[in-house]
Amino acid sequence: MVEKALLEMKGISKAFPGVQALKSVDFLLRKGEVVSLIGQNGAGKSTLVSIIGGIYLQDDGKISIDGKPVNISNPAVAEELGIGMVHQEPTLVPNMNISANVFLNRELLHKGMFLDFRSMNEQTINVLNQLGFKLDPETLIEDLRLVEKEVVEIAKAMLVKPRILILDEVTAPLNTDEADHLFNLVCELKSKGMAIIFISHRLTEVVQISDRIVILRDGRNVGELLREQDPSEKDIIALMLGQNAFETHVDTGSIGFDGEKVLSVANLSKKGFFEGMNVDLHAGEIVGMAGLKGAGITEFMKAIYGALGTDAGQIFVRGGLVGIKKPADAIKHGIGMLTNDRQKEGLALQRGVEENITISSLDILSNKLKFFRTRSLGIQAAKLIKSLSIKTPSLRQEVMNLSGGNQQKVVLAKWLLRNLDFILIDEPTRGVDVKTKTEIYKLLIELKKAGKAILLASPEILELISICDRILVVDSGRIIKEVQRGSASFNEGSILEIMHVDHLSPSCRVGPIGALI
Amino acid sequence: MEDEQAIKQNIMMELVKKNALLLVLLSLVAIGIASSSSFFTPYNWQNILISVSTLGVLALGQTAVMLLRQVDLSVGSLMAFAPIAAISLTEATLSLTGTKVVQGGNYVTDGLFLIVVFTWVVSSLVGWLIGLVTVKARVPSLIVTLGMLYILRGTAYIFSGGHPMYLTRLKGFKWLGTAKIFGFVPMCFLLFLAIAIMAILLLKYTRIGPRMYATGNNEKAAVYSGVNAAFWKIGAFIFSGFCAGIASLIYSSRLESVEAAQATGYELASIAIVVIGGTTLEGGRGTMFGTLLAAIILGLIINIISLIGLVIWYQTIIIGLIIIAAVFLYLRKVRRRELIG
Repeated sequence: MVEKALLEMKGISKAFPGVQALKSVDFLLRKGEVVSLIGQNGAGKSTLVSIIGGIYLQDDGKISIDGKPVNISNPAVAEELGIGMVHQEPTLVPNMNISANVFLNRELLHKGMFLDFRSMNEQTINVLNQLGFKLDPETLIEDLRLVEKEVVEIAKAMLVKPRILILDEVTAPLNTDEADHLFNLVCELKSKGMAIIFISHRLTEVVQISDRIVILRDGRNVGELLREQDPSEKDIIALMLGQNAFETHVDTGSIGFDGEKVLSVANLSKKGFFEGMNVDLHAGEIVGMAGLKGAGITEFMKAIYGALGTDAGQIFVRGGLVGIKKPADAIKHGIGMLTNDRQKEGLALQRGVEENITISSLDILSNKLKFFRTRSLGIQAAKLIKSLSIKTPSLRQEVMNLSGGNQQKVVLAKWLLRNLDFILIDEPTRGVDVKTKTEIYKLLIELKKAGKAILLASPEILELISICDRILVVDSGRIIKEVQRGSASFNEGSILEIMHVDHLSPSCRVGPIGALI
Repeated sequence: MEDEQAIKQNIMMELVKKNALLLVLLSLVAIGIASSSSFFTPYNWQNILISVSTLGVLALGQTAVMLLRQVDLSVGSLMAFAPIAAISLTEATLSLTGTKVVQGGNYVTDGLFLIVVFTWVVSSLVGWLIGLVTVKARVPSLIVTLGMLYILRGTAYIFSGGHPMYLTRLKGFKWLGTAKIFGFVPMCFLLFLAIAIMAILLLKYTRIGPRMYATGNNEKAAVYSGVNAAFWKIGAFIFSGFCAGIASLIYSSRLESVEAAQATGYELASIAIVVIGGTTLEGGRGTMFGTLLAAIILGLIINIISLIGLVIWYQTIIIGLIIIAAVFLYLRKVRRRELIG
């Protein structure tokens, strides 16, 4: 017997400036069901559940609960409808304690007016115990570890005894035992009739725990797998990638490289972010880094660049030990970085193109009196604008008026002007249109052929496959595998497998729907 | 034995840190007694308490605003505008019944009740207006209240015709500023204390507290939990306006006059008190009790300095140094937490 739908979403579309996050998505949820929502970064999972949670309103489409149409206009409405949501990043008030956070906006009162601290503390302890955690309810949130903050978030959602519970990436910061405990809890809740939407990148646990797996790709619901079908991680990845994964045809030049180790990172560690990272860059190679959000890649790159401190490890440039404590040091040693947030970290948006391109090279371009030769600034900038095909009406055009792709080129030009030998790039084509993407790839290959060494991190595996000589897969701050171009695993499917199939094996083994083994 | 010593020392340090303001206050009292024989006289204490009242009430309103990560620069000008507007309104209202409120050019002779009520109403309405513009038009409160600072001051001049209004002939008006309970405790200080205690209790023991602190400390988290952030922000500005109205009544009652130029700079002094009391600029941190203590501390400092015979400018130098030192110490405590977490 198929249960009637508890939650039904039909034709849901949602657009944000510049991107269509969801395209006419249908989604169904039944009582006592665990449905996992899978997809690559940007596929639309968080957007979909945010709509259910009342944080966004859909542009198009209808939602109904128990067959009745609803309009989930804000989080309070969602709560009333029995929807509890645990966000990806804990959204708590740091300067208030656990109890106050759990009971925010639904404080318990006695005599109708005064805060009933004792009851709130008691109930908080209860819920935390159910989750298997012993915490003092009067601890301030800012004094908690990330795991504990996650637990408080879950406790908050559980408090109103929701009928629909959304868990967005909650297992990410948990260790095996903690995750096991959570799965047991999920099983229990399921048996009591709660419907659970589970978002995770860890396909192994998804396979174990779900009754149904719904896959999103590029904002569309591209299919679902049922428990009866006994799906494997490979099946899921196949749907994630889709049949028509096109190949960007870029000539990557010779596979081999000079062999000269120009930049070496030894045992670089930063507590909480990455550990024991060893990377060797050779002249004339592009090395890719692949990993899930939170794997520590961005932080690792920033650490090499001097934008982030480290606890241990050394950096060698051409065999010599260097001390890099701030970006200026890195630049002196020939290292430049394009971060994943060019608007905040790579550009002065209200300044002109020429200024942005020349800002890091002013020392080279000034004369003996430390004044810069304004004419030569303009000439250099113009040269780069031409060679990188940066589309701008003038040298003085404010950078914020350029398209994303051209903005990215400006940041690249900044480093090229200084003729640096090593370039670190995090998310090279974020917010860049398709045509400019290809142009940037060609530029990077040219740089490689000119003998530069490039370290490239990207959430788009396809991108890494098309231009890298080898790819390092990173998980939880460690490099777990290196894949060389030309080897059998150098394809999108295999790399995704390495990234998603992992060591976490939940002990809650649920058999056919509803039955607990 | 040595371990015991170390533990005792640690506990002492903790106690000191937690009650820093109270200790500062007590030390100042000690300094005061030591520096002048006239410090511990009824007359002197009345002076202290009266000067504490006006700025103290203002600071309570400012605390509410700053806890929500906003700032209200308009309260000084509002202290001039509210009573002046109230007098004009009273004039207009009572002229309908034929009563003359203002006589002999600028002597206010009638309409006590209406003037007092209108002062509160006007100041609260202005607060509400500021709140609306800040929240709905999304203009930063720094800018809105800065603009109002000028607008209100100018309007006060226009309404009052540019000359002071004297209330010496208004029966009963000087009561608030000069009355003393038991012939000793100034009435205005009791009023300040009453508002302070209410504010402390409301924030600590009712829903108002968590919702305001949440809105100030992490608005996103508050909104995700369904808290109506806009409501609380506007409410804080209304309270700040209300306090400005009360402060203006205490002030004008003491001086028995109202003029457009009065209370200039008071908004900055109120921020100083709030900040010394432990409320930070980022919002969500600080207490009304801290503001209460800080107001008294400021009053003590001003008093001691004049008792010692130093010129008034020494006051401003010392207050400036204290503001910087206080915020530095508070932030150090907060930052140390961040490093550990």
